[in-house]
Amino acid sequence: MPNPTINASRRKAQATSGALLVEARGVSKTYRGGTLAVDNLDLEIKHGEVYGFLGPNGAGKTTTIRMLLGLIRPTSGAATVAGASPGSPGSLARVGSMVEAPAFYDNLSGRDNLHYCARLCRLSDQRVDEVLEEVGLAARGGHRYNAYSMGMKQRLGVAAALLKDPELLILDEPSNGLDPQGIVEMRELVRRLGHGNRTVLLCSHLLAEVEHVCDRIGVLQNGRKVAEGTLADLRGAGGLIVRAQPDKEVRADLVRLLGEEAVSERDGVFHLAIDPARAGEIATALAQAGRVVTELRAEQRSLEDIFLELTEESK
Amino acid sequence: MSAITGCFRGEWLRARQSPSIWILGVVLMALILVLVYGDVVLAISVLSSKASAGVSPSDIAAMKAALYPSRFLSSTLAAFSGIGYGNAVAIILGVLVFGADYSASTQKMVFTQGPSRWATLVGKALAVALILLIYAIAAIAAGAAASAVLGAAYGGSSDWPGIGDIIKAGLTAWLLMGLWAAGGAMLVTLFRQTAVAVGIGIVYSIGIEGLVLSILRKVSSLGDLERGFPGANGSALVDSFGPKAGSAVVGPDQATVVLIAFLILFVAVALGVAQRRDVT
Repeated sequence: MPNPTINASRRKAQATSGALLVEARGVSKTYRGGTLAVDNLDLEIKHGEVYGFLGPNGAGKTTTIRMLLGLIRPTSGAATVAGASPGSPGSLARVGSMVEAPAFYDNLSGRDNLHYCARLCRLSDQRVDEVLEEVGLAARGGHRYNAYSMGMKQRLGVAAALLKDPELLILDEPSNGLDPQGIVEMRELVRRLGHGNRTVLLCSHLLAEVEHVCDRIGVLQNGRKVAEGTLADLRGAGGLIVRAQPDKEVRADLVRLLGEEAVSERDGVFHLAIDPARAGEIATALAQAGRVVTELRAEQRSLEDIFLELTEESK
Repeated sequence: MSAITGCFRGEWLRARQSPSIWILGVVLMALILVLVYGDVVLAISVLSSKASAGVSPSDIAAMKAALYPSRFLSSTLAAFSGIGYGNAVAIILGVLVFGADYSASTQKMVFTQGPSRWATLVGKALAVALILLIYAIAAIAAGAAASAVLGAAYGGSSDWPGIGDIIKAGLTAWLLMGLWAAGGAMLVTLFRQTAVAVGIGIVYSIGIEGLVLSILRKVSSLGDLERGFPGANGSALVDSFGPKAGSAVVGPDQATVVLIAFLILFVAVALGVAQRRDVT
């Protein structure tokens, strides 16, 4: 399988200039019994971008995706997907999707399952061979679906999503149930699919997958979008990490210099909520005070840190 | 229209490769041969050898006559009359085709390919209609073959019904199986469980309607309601091909109209529910 990287700059250029491919306004879904799965969600995905959807289990990600595909009707709000109402033939013709675990007919081969999909979409059988090749299943296409491994089933799901060569590709947890090798392969596949002009909505628990692939990220919690932006946006201005001795005196120096609210300490490490560009100023001040500085660096929060922080905050 | 054609082609591809659908067809043929013809042959054999008291040669001759080519249409269609097992086979087929997506959770895959839900389901319905047409032709052919062999064996008349009657009988079998298959499709759409749909459908076709009708017949003021039941109209339509013609509760024309109305109702309910329901 080839290992291309995402042409992020090209996609970003399209994203900033492109029209909205997904637009949802005030979308909510309440299931029977009163469970509020999605609460007044606004969502915009631009043409050509890879958008990551993050959230803990039950946050409403899959419900949102099902609404965008017309599988579920929203209780309120409105959305357009690829310029048409969700689930309409005009919208679905431009959207490929894999929602949760792929589901196909057990008694058919992988290839015949795709032939079935191709007939529904009125596509040629040649296209089936192309997508099987694309996901690396060409050699096993004639085997029955129920004999496929989990990884092969996931690949077949992606192949079905690609059949229409869609402008918008929606992948819901494409790495679910895969072993580490399968996760790596799926990540490479998703990277490749995000290459070029295609818009991708990727819903995943795997933060590394989202971090490496997505242009923008939306975080959902309890049905509400609690954050959205590029990874840099979500990381924010960051801060500084300082390790210096002796602890008590260093703390007093930092508080005197920056104020109580900007200084926190965990496990002997000081976290300073200030512009990392002030590192030189901090280093000089501590040196002049006779402190021994063993570490001073900009704080780089991982997506995992951000995710846990956001979802904890909104609980 | 082309969306429906695409859906039909997809569904037909799936049906062609589904062993259960063709096994069901073979079961139907076997039931016709064994329960319609084999049963009578066995009875004739036992009664003739024992020369049972109370069984006259004319009774045995009448039994043989039912097997001859001139009567093969009514004999074969008996499989689809009242509590006929042909109806049970049709219910199972409707449940299998329309219920596969509930048991395999493939509905989300099917409904996100592109065609509208309506087109997808109409494509399925057309595939079922084609399968049932093949079943109906095979059933009539099996009945004709059995009658030809048994007629020759018993030295009976080799007069065959006219081609128009044969076509009418084939269409009758098709309509009756279509009705019950639509019933199965409606039930599995409502309950989203194949086992429940098959159970309720078969229990209704072989038991519940008969019980309700027997109660209605005892209440003279409600007797006319019998004319509105699918099983009773199906039996009336089948009876119009045999010696009981004219004695049925309704005529064949009214029976045909009622059956088509029920078929449309069952399909409309199945489509309406599937069209509106969330796929979770």
